Amino acid sequence: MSDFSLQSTRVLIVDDNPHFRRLLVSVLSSMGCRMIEEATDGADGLKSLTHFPADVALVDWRMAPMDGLDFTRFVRTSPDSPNRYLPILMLSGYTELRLVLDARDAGVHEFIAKPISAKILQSRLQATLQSPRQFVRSPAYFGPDRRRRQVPLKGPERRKAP
Amino acid sequence: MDTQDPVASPATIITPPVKAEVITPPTNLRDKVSISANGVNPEMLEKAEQVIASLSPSYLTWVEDDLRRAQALLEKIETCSGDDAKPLLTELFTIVHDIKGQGGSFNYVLMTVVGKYLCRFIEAVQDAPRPSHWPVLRVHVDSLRLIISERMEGDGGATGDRMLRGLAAAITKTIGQIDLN
Repeated sequence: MSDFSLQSTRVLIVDDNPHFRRLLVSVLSSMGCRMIEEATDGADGLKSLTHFPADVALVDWRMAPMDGLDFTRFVRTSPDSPNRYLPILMLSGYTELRLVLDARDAGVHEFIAKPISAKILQSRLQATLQSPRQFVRSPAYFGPDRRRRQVPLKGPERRKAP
Repeated sequence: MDTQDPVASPATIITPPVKAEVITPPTNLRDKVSISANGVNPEMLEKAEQVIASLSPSYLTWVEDDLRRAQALLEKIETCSGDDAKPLLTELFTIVHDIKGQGGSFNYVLMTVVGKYLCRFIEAVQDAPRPSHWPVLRVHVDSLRLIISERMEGDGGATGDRMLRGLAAAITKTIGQIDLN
């Protein structure tokens, strides 16, 4: 029988809505996850990361005082970031293309539209954890490679792995 | 007199391309998640969906609380004359946005769609709110309450369809056509 378990995975949930946090905790628990930390906004999430070395973060967008975008930017670019490579999945009801692109450009790995289902959450977690993305560092961006499809380049490849 | 040298014009300077560095992050994530080559156990997914379904009674309690808060805000908004409603509309938007984001997870898809309509309407009027907008807010909040009180799960069928067409018509009649998606 095939199997999927998050038993050894540490998940940080950052969402200001206690009901949504409860939903996520319940679904993650049913997937075997036992190490879950909850935070109520981006600043609280950063505080959690100082003592909870998360393997992946599920982050809401709209929170106060620090929202999910600022949380992501801090994790990716701050010298004080506990883990610049932390996989971040943003869960939000804001699904306009411009906002999704903002999230991508801030450095999120995946964007999941609310309302969520167990199947979507599982598939995105699996994709993130099983196939870690390469990161790109440029003067204007640091984060997971934003190219999701391998398309032939018209010019020479300028990005080289060290 | 123009003294610029046409050969050395700034427009002829080409900035060299900036190189980006590709990094393979240090990770042991693959070791931390167990999954067979065949993919995901459908029983696990079913269990997870059952867990969500088991939260439905709690959801109804949460959403009824959200709707009470939305109703209280609406009553305050209805006493406003225009711009004084702006902070209340912001609060109402936050509540409705949460309702929109949760309904579908608990098989109340119609809550998500009506919530989306109301969010789009608030976004459209929040810079210049007027009392003529209040009835549209009212009919949306009343619809959300009706969906929950009547336990209209899923898309609400024909009733849900009529409800959505009525709400879209109310919005169009009041402020013209807007993108409700």
